[in-house]
Amino acid sequence: MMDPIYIYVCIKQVPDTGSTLALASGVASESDVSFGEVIKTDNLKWITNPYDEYALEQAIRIKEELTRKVENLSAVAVQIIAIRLGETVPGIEVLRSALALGADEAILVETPKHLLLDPLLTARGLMLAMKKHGKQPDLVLTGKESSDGNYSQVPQLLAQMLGFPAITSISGYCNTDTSGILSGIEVCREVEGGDTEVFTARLPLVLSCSRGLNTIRYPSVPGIMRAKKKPITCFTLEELGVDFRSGKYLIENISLPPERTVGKMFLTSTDTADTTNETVKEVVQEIMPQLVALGDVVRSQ
Amino acid sequence: MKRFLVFSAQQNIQKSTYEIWEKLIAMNAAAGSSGVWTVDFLLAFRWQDRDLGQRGQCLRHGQCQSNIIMHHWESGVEGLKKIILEGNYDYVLSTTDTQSKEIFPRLAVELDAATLTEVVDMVYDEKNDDFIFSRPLFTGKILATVRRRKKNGTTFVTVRTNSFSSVSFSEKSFVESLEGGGALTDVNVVDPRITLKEVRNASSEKRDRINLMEAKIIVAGGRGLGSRENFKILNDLVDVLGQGASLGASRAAVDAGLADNSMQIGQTGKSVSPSLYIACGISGAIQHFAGMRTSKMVLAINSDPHAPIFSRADYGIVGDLFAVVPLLTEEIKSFSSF
Repeated sequence: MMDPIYIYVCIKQVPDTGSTLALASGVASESDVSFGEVIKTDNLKWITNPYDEYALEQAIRIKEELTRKVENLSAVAVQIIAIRLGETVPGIEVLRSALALGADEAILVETPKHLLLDPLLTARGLMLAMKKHGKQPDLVLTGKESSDGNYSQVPQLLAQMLGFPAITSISGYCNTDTSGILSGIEVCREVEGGDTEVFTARLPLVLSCSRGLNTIRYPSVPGIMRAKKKPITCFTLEELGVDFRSGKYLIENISLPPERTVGKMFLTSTDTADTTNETVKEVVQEIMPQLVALGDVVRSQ
Repeated sequence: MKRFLVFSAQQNIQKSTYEIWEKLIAMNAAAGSSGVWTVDFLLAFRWQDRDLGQRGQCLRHGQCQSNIIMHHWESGVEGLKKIILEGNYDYVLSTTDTQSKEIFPRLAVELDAATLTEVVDMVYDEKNDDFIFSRPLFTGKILATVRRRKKNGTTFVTVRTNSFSSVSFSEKSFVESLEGGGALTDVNVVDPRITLKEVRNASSEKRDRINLMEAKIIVAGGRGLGSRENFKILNDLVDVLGQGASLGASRAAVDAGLADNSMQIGQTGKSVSPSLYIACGISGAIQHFAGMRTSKMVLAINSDPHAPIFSRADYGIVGDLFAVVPLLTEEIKSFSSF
């Protein structure tokens, strides 16, 4: 009997994109990187980071595919472990929803409240939790970035700490081997300029997932019921030996960017081509000289 | 005395890479008391199609002189680590691209260093003799200013494209200034444990378009376009706007199969900062706004006067895009060829 293949999926909870962020008075103190004083988190609606949903969906698909394959071959078990580093609330909800979708177990690395952690520390916490949990990762799937921190670093940091190769921002996946285990993985991603790179790799591996990779599923009622019985292991940052104050940089100040003011509106009536024509002329006369001044449009004589 | 290394691993040297160099030179000129900074270039090519100098001395600007270090990408993290340690750099900077995003965090682990990604501004703080960086959080809803905790060691920085502006960039003259010395060969993959099986080239139509992230003008289409074929009218508009223009799409348009994934602008797509963003038939969901918030000027065209996009546009035309866009194309054509 072979050891199971352990697939870790890193999941983060983020404020819903639709929620309005407000700042409370006060300044982040020098001694830590706490955001509590400055971003109001009380009334925020939390969601699973959108890119992490693609990572989880891919893990479930890989498990389904391998389980189908091994029916005719030697038994290879696949276990999906959802892991999250963050506050207990709302961290637990995103793990429960991952369990409802198909993860087998979950790990929560608890952090102090209102912490926007240095990605280097986040990755260290995740890596140490995987070690402490005792199930050596074979494949780590993550989103390509989170929609709150927008760092896009944890997958690569984690890969380096684990000694794994990583392929980032993948938008396509297939398993090319027939042995029932993941000895041949083919992924693709789009790079600057529009070219698509196709990579082949084998385990162990870190893959960060982007849009286009798959279409996510939604939890079923039996899935939600089963999730209640699945184990969630908790660690604290402290017991893993990570000091959240040892971050490499300080966030000195945060501010809300100025809101755009409603601009100049032009109404056209589709009945009369003339009006539309005049409107468009007017808009072009307003905009184009600004672009010429910026050097973004060149007028040829 | 500050030491910088500007990193580029793209096939062509990007305008934004050059802009980082210009920005550093300008900051050095303004920071009189700090001495002359060293700004070196590290060029690591993956698919070698250029015959560039092995190591040259060039790019003089006032007192500043930059060294060019050529690097065989295949030596990977270890090779780069050696160069950075030998050069004793305070900051290693790059434009935000696939390569820098992959390699900087790995180097940061090796050097126990910080990485700041998606930086949009950088100022010299004379008092601390160090730098303060601005970067967006929460997909641009919040702007944070950040500095490193300790001044020793190396910090890695990726700069969002179009954040620093340059007026004097010319790729040709930049490349010419690199000449002299031997050629590079056999530069292949990122990590020896991964095999790059193939590169599927973008369609020629797509290749002619400038990278969305570098584009100065973006025309983006939403579900209002109705079909893939109808994107042609947006293509025509992009064509008359010149070389700095590119074509994008909203998530709704991508989901409906009207446009490719790679064209998507928004929360789960690309974040862009053009001078002009023309939104055609895009209602303006908050997720879309997250990707084009930093556009300097927005023109929205939509038949629904209540579309949220209008509350974020500098100019709005309420009307049928199929009537408005072709007229706009004609009007801009006659304006530009004046």
